[in-house]
Amino acid sequence: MALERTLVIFYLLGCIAIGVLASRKVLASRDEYWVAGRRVGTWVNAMAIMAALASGGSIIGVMGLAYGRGVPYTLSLFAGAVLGFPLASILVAKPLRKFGKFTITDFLTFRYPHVIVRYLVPTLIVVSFTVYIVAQMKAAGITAQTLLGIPYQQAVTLSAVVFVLYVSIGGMLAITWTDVVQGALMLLVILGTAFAMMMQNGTPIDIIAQASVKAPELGQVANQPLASYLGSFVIWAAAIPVIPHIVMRVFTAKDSEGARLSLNIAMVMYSIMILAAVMVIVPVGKMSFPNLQDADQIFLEVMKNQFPPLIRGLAVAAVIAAVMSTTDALLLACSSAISHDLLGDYLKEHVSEKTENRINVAIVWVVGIAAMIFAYSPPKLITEFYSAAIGMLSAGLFVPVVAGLWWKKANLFGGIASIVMGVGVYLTVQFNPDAPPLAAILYGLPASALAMVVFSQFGSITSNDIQSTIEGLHR
Amino acid sequence: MDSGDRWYLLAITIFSVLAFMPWARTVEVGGMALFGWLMAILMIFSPAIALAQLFIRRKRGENSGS
Repeated sequence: MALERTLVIFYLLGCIAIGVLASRKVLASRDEYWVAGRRVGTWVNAMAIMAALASGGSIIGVMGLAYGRGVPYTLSLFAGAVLGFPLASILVAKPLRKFGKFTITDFLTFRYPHVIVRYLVPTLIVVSFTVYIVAQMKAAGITAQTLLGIPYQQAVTLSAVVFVLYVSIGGMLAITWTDVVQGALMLLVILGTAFAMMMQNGTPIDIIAQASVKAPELGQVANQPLASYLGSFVIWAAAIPVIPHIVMRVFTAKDSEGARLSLNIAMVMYSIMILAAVMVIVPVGKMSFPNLQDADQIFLEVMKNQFPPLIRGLAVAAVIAAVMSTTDALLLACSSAISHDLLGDYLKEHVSEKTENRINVAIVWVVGIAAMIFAYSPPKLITEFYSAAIGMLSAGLFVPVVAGLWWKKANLFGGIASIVMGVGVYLTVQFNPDAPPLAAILYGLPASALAMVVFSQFGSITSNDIQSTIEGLHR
Repeated sequence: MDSGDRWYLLAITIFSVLAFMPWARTVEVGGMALFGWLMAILMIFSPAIALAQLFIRRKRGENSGS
């Protein structure tokens, strides 16, 4: 395992070096730290968006999900994510980029100016993103354990320390640079593995046909209730336009046109990678390893048994890259929810911009260490686990953001009711033991929309200042 | 909202609704439920069309500007 370990060590050192280089530029300014100075080019931003979304879940989790629940179920979840990109591009990219602040909370508190929104939205982000980060850390831990022979807890600690270090000192600029490298590595490994398998087994259509003879459940829809299929599709379609670590990428673009283009290019790369994983690697893996106890191990077993050490080393680096490229963006979004959204006003009044950025660094460490401790006792089926957490954000934020941008009658009452009802109904259904997995969004989202429409009939209409600013965002 | 965007959203919504119809779940093609193939098609065509639309709009904008 010496070669694999050396490759991974070089990779981790490279990430830290990028963080150190970026820190020279970013630690003096709020704009540089949170949104990389708003001058990230289209292709770089596209790769960074793809890498931010393609998490450990997209390599380890997506294949585990397809192995355990079948290809159609997995594709319904990821097709929802792919659909979310044009929704984001059409509905929110241009106006939010023109709005020109740092976070989704900035927009919501401007549109619905109330203390409930100011504190509830970042709290929701911190809770759901901590769950998301824990799932990513599990992916890093089991990968290093299986392919490098490092004990699970040590692997989680090592990867956590590295990405917390480069995010805390390098901010969005370090994340952007590392995400480009990480995205390229992920594409190389997944597409390379799929290509090698296609050379041996034929086209994806042939591979699915062969695998379904040995494991018919792989291609069937019957193994989950319909509500789960629809729920997983809707969760991600509604999440992408409002999910903070993607929205922050919109704010980093040079202009609104660049933001839209990067979202669409990212979506193409993401689709190709997911399809290669689900329609080639998983069916081939299922034929070779039909009875795995932990479905999330499928990609690692394929790598361990069917590829030479150099490729295995690259695979470990790719999975860790996938974990880091998402977790770094999640960490930044999560810490921005605390230091910018929750404490921002206080910090602006009482400390300098430089001290504020030092506090950001400390908050990144606190969030990272908390998630690391939770990750020592990991959940099963990570993709389903973090999708449930993201569902809460979709249920609470999608309607208020979209209505806030596109519906003039949306007012403060409607905004608050829509967030509270969306999240409340979502959590009530989610924690009902009889509810099918991921189906809670099918109740949470309509409840949020209904609350927006009904409660916007009450209370005063939105002020002219807010209305004219929103109209200006669409010009 | 641009009319091209509106048509695009309408088309992918109709496609998604059709994909979730009961017949797509029961019919099997090449070892997988038709639903799975439709999701795969959605993943390929929705980004491709959106990207093509953006490039075309950009080109038109450049041409009309020059």
